[in-house]
Amino acid sequence: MRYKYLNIIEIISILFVVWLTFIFMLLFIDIYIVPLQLPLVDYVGRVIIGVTKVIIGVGLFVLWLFLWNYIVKKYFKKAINTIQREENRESGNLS
Amino acid sequence: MQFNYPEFLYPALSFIVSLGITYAILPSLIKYLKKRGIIGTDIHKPSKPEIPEMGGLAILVGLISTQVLLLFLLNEYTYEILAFISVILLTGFIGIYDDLKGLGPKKKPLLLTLLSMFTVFPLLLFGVVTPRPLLPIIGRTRLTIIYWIVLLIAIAVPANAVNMLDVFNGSMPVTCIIASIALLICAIILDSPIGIIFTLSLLGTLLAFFKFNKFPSKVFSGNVGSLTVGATIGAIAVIGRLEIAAIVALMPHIMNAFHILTSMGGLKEGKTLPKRPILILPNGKLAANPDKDAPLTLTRLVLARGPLTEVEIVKIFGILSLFCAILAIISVGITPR
Repeated sequence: MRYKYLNIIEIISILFVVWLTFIFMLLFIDIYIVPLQLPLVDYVGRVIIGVTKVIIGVGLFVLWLFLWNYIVKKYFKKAINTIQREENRESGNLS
Repeated sequence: MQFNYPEFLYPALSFIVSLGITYAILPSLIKYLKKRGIIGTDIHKPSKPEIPEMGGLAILVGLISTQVLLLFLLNEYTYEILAFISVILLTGFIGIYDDLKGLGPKKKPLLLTLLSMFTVFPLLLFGVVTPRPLLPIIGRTRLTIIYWIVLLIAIAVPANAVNMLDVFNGSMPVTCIIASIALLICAIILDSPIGIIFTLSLLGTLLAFFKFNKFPSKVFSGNVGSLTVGATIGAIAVIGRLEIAAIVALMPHIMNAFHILTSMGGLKEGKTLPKRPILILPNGKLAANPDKDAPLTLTRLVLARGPLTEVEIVKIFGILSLFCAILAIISVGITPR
């Protein structure tokens, strides 16, 4: 029972961190990426600026996904190892 | 918000009609599916009972018939309703084909992406969608390039994500009912009448379906049901201008789909997987497969600290969805308008 609720809190914490980083990422894009200007004024220049903004935005999004993936994998590994250690200890006590 | 009579009537009508039609259809549909032998095995129970599949047809019929009715009543939203119907119908047909013939996970997202591209054209033609989403803290933004790129996957991602979490009795309706309630509250906050009407329609049909899909299930939704519900949420997000709210409310679904894809190294047929993510114990409880090669799903994550029953897992899914629903409402709450 204790583990069940601990698990919910842990996954909720992951979701909260993911949400918070998502909000910060949007804020970062709005403050730094959207107003980004390069010394290019013609049509091609405007296209280059637009494409650069999209690439940086997509790159940040991919980075955010990797962070999410990393946190979840770390958590899962830790949780499984803890359970297996406890099971080994219990079976050791029984024998 | 200007919901005077008779405008107040339409959201109520949307909810009651979709709930009533879905609820009325399901018992006869279950009998028909049994008779036709359209059944699936409930693999998470030790007795492996056979349950009628494609109950999601009632969801599809409930949603479409409600929208057709509203099409005659709400003249100011004709284009929005037509776009909504086209998204639901196209996705529903893919789901039916997938259930009857088998589409394979490689074709399904591709087909859905292509179809969502088609649904974008009428939206553009009638000027229903503008690339100015409301973002938390920032407010209204002009995303002239990136919005159209994201729009191409706006139906495919939620449809597949909801489909991937439809794994236990009641898991799809429970999580999507909570997400729909969050979208409804966000639509009210953001003053999106069409968002309110569409969300209430989805909520009605899901509540009716939950009565038959909850543990122990009398019917499964099938791909037709889960894909339709996911696509409906995607369509509500785009047409109702609830993009961020939908992303946050569907975070458990997206988390599940994303980790399945990353741990499996791409889209692969579920049946051909060498390792299953969860194991069924002799006492009927489900446990996470400790094998490091098994795909990482949300269920496996939930079971990481010990075995649980199917009902307990669905309850945890519900709690996670509820938390994300609160985050979605907060996201909209901190959005300047």
